[in-house]
Amino acid sequence: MPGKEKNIQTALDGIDGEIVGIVGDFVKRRKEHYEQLAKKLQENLKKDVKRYAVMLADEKISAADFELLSKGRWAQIQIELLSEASISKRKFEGISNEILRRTIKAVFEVV
Amino acid sequence: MKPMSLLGMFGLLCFMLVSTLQSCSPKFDKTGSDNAINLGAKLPELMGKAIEPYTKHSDAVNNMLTELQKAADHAASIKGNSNLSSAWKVLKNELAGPFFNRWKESTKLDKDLIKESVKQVNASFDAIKKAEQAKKKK
Repeated sequence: MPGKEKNIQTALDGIDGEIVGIVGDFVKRRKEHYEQLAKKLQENLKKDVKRYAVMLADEKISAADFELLSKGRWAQIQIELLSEASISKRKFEGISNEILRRTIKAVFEVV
Repeated sequence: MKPMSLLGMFGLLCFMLVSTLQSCSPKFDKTGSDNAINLGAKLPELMGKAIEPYTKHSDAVNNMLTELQKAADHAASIKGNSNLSSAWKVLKNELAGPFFNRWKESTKLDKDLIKESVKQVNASFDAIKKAEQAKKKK
């Protein structure tokens, strides 16, 4: 199990370096602001998705349950950011969707 | 133009700008706040019943989705409230809706899955409640 956990962590860490590029695809102005928010989203998402991925690897939950929980956690972070931050919902939606897509893909590649 | 007149005009401009900005920010909305408190208690309670067959609670699920839609519609009707309105939509369409769909598909859900999903919903309502309370009471 520690080997699997390490692989999941490595796969999720791989997305860290992609944040700047993802933000650049959606935002031309106030890039730093959106990069900070995207990093916050990715950090929060990564922590719990790793936990869900370990549950999936241990067969405590199904792949459908894993997707439900990961998307639910992403939705929770979106709600928290929308409630506290001054962001353009439309721009941030594109960024957060891309981060979620890459996060789930990264986990399914190693589990 | 005399310096005093210029100062007066600048003061008037500042006053107008502050007044405009104040009118743009949403006022305290009792209905929005009540929706967050009431549904924040009712939704996790209903989700906790997912250890039982879906058919037993299908009416309650449909009523809950209607109430969530009403809360989202109400938030959307408030001027300058677009982010909170979006938050309500995400809550209904990305959190509650998929959970209920999974419950319907699987008939019953596992305790661990329910616990994690309820945690997400509770944290989401906390954020919405905090944002509603942060609106200036007038």
